[in-house]
Amino acid sequence: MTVCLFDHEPAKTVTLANPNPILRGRVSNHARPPQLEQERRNHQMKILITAPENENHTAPLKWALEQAGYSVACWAGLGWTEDRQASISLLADTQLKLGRHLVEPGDVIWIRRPMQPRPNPQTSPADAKFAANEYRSFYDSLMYLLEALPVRVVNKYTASRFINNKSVQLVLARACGMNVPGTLMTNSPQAVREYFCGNPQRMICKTFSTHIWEKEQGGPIVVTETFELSADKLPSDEVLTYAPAIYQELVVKKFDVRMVLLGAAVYSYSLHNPRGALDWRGDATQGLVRVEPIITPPEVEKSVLAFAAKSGIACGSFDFAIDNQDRWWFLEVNEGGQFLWLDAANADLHVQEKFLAFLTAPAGSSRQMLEARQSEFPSWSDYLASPAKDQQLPEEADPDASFVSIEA
Amino acid sequence: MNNDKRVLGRQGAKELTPSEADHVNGGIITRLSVCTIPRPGTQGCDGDVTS
Repeated sequence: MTVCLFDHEPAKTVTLANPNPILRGRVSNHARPPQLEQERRNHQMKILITAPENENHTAPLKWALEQAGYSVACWAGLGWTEDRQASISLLADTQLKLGRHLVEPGDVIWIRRPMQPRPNPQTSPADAKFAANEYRSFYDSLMYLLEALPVRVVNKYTASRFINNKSVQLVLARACGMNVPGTLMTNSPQAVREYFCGNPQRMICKTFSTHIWEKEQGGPIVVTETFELSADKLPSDEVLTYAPAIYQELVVKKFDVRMVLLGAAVYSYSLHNPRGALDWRGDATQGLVRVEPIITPPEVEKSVLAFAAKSGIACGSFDFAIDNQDRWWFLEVNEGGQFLWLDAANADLHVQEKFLAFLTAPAGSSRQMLEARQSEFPSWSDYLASPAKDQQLPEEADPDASFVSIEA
Repeated sequence: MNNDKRVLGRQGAKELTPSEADHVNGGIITRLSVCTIPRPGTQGCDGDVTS
């Protein structure tokens, strides 16, 4: 049986009975507003996550959604194997099928981290480029089409593609009233030298994307990282043309903030790194960063919501540096950023529940509406204590990853 | 490895300690971590914050 996407919207009901003892008490203790309850009853949905099931956010969140009674499906991204095949049918009815999953009206599609399109490796080498291009075009067709269907997409592919550009981020942030460090993005040696010579500020250099170098196969690993750079340390003009880079005024900061945008809700968390590293990530991975909730200044929240409206993103992870005058400096946003590590660092934050309340709520839900629903979902701590955690398979390495180089 | 003609980003890159490297396996961070390396052509990575 097929289900029409556009021509009819079949009436649906949703089952809210929560079979899980972890949650049963919570739901009964936190009655939802009648309006929300009615919306859910009228709006059966499945959550379709575009990522491998064992992706590090997908696995716990899929488990948590299922514990709360939601239907969840995963599609790892376009590929030649059956579970990664896809179809767009423009026949009497219009259908989109991702893997084994039919996209239906009312579904929520979370574009998490789909794998890159994977053509059949048996394709003749003479046709490999053609096949790769066709797979890429088809993948774009699938992702853009989602926005034309009666489904909710988080984040929309157009918004994702748009905002995953650092220049766009900085310009929009500035336009929305945020403090943005002076920045130069270039591959022009002359521009770099002029910028450094005419600027008394301390400067940093960062890359547009992350890259990993293995010194040898299986050997020591080197990863791109923000670093301080001064005029006297600039390399030759030749080297400056090898790769474009981002040169930015260094913000002398008191601490960092990771902010999570969830629709109309903004949550900020201060990150205190005892080592005071330029980039807190390495230390956070080691559990060395203290994470605490912090109130978002109203003017910053207003700017971030304006930024979201201009960019089209509904959720994302923002990074700010807070200077000694308590000014918040926008550094960047990752619309597909990580956020569960916050719960791992501080179990009182409940970011997992907040995100799931956002994901399953109608678009445009207020912060109050989201927070009224977050107790429906199990926490990160619940996941860690569950058998599901031990059943999670490790993510597979991508042998074709373009962000890994082997030096020897 | 001939270090001539290396990009500036490589010169400023950080060699991971063994415990940090433990979070990376073949280019894919395998545990819940701050920065998951993006799959090419898809989402960006939140692994490159500035100052």
